[in-house]
Amino acid sequence: MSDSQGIRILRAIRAMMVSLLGVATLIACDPFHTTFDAVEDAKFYRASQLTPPPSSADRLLVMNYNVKFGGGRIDFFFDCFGDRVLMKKSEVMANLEGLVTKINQVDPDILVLQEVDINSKRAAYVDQMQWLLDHTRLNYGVYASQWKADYVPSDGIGPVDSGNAILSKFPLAEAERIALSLRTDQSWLERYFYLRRNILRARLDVSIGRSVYILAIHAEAYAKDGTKKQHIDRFIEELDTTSQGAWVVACGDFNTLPPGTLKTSGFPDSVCTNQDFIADDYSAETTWLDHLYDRYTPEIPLADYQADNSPYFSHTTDKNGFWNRKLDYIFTNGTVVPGSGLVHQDPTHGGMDTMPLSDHAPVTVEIELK
Amino acid sequence: MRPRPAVSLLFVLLASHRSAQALSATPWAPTNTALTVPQGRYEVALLASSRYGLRDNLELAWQPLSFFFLPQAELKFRFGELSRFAFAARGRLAYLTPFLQTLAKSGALGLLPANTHVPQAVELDTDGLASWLFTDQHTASVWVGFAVAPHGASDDLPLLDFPFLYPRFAPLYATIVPRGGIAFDGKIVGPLFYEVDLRAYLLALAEVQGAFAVEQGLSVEYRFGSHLAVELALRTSYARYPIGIRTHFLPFADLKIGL
Repeated sequence: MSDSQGIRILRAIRAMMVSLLGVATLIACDPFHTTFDAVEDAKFYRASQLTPPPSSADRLLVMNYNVKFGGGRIDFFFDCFGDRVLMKKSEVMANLEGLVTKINQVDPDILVLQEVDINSKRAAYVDQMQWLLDHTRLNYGVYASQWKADYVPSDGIGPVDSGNAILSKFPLAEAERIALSLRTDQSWLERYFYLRRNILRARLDVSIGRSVYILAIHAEAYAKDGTKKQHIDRFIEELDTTSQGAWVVACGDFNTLPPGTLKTSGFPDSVCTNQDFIADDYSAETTWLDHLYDRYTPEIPLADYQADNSPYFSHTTDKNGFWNRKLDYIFTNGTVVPGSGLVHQDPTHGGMDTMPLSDHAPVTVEIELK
Repeated sequence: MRPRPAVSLLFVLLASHRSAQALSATPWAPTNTALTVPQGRYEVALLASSRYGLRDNLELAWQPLSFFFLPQAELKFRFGELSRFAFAARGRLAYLTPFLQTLAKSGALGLLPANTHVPQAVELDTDGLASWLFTDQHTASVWVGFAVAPHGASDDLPLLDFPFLYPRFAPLYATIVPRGGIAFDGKIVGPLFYEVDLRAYLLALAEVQGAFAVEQGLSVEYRFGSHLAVELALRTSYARYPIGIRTHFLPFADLKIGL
C-alpha cells in the first residue's frame, strides 16, 4: 500500500472519529431516552377491526380506570406486600382478560386509562393499548408515556413504557402530551429515570356543535415537595383554558381526596416503610380539588360523597381488604345524568368484583353535552 | 496492461519488507488484534483487560476490577505469521454466577429482580484473529468466533438486556452466539494512537425475533513511553432488544500501566 493511500485512510478514520464523537455528544444527553418536550403529539392507535360508533356523541358513557399495567393483584415490591417485579406473559394476558371483561360489561364510549403499558419488561412487552382496542368495542386510542426508559437500572425493572391513554368509539384528533413538572426532592439521577407525568388531551372528532375535549391526568403520588399540587393546579389551568367554548370531560387518578373526606391519613393498607412508596397522608390536601368541584360537575355529587364516603372509595393496595379512599374522578362542564355516577367496587356496585383486577376501582358516569 | 485486482492485492500483501517479527510481541497491542504483548510484560488497566505475556506468542488477560464478582481469564495464542500478517486464537472462560447474583438486587444497579433464582453458569468464548500491518504504522484486524454458556436450570432468569451487557450475556439465553469484528489501529501523530473497531453479535433469542447487536468503538490513546498510557474511548451499541432497536453510547476513560 502506498503512503498516499495510508494517509487517505488515516484522514478518513480521523474524520469518522470526529463525526461520531460529535453525534455521541449530542445523543448522550439523554442516553436512555427518558425525556420529553413540553408539548408533544400523543401516540395514535386504532383497533384492528372498527365497530360502528353510536350515532351521536351528545350523550357519552365515560369510564376512568387506573389499570395498574395489567398487574392485577400480583404483590409487587413497590406495594410492599410482596417482592414481584416482572410478570410472565400468561399472567399479563389473564389480567387483561379480567380488565376487558369489566370494560365490556360497562361498554363505555370513552375510556380513560392510567398505568397502561405498551412496551415494558414488567408487563412482558405486551402492547396493552392495542390489545384492549382489539378486545373491546372501542375503536381509537391516544397514548402519552408517563414513564419511559430504554432501561431503568433499578430493582430489575429494565425497559419500561407506561402512561395515560384515552380510548374512544369515536375518532380522536389533536392529541397532545403536555408535560407536568418533575419532582425536585430527588437526586438528578433518580429524576432522570423517574416518572414524567403529563396531561393527555384529545378532541373527539365528532360534530355536535361545540368541540368535545377529553383530558386525562395521573398526578404525582409520592412527592413531598408540592409537585402533586403543581400537577393538579396545572391540570385545572389547562381544563379552564380548554373549556372556553368547548365541552370538556376531565378524568384521572388525582392521587388526592375529595373535600370533606373523613379519613385523610393512617390507612391500614399502607404497609411500606420505604419513604419512596409512602402515600398515606392527605390531611394537608383537603382543599386542592375545591376549584374543580366549584366549577365543574363531578361524577359523584360532593354532597353524596360527604354524606357517606365509603361507597365511592376507589383505591386500596391490599387485595384482601376493601377500597378505602377515593382517588379517581370524572369532571365535566356538560350535564351529568343524575344518579349515573358509580364507583364499581364490587358485585353490588357495578355488577362484578373489581378487586382482583387492579388496585383501583373504575369510575363511570353518563354525560350529556347539550 | 493493467494488473488484475487480485494480482495487485497479492502483490500488496506479499511484497513487504516488514518482517513478521514486528507483528508479533508488541507493547500496548490492542485487544482485538492477533498481536500479543512481549514475554514477561504486564499491562494493567483500570477498565480494559489487563494482560501478561507468558511467552512472546502467548498472552494471559483478565479484568482486575471485576475479577472477584466475575472471575474470568483469557488466553491468546499467536500461532503464525506470514509477511505482514499474524494469526492467533483466543479463548476466554468466565464464571457468571457471582456477577448475576450481584445484579439481582433491590434498588439502584439492580439489573435483575432481587427474587431472581440465579443458576450456576460459565461462559466460554473462542475466537480466531488475523491482523495485517497495512502500513508501517497501521494495522487492520479481523476476528470471528462464538460464545456458549452452559448453565443450570434458569427458567425464571429474566433476559439481561442492559445495553452492552446484552450481547455479552446472551449465551445464557441462546445455544450459541456467533460474533465477529474488524478493527483498525495505529499511530495518529507522535505518542497519540487510535483504535476503531466494529463487532457484531447474532443473538438467537426466543424472546426477540431477529435479535442482534452491533458495537462500534473509537479510542484515542496517549502513550507516555512504554510504561503509561491514557485512553479516551467511546463505544456505540446498536441492537435489537425486546423493546425494538435502540442505540446507546458509552464514553469512558482508562489508565494503563505497562511493566
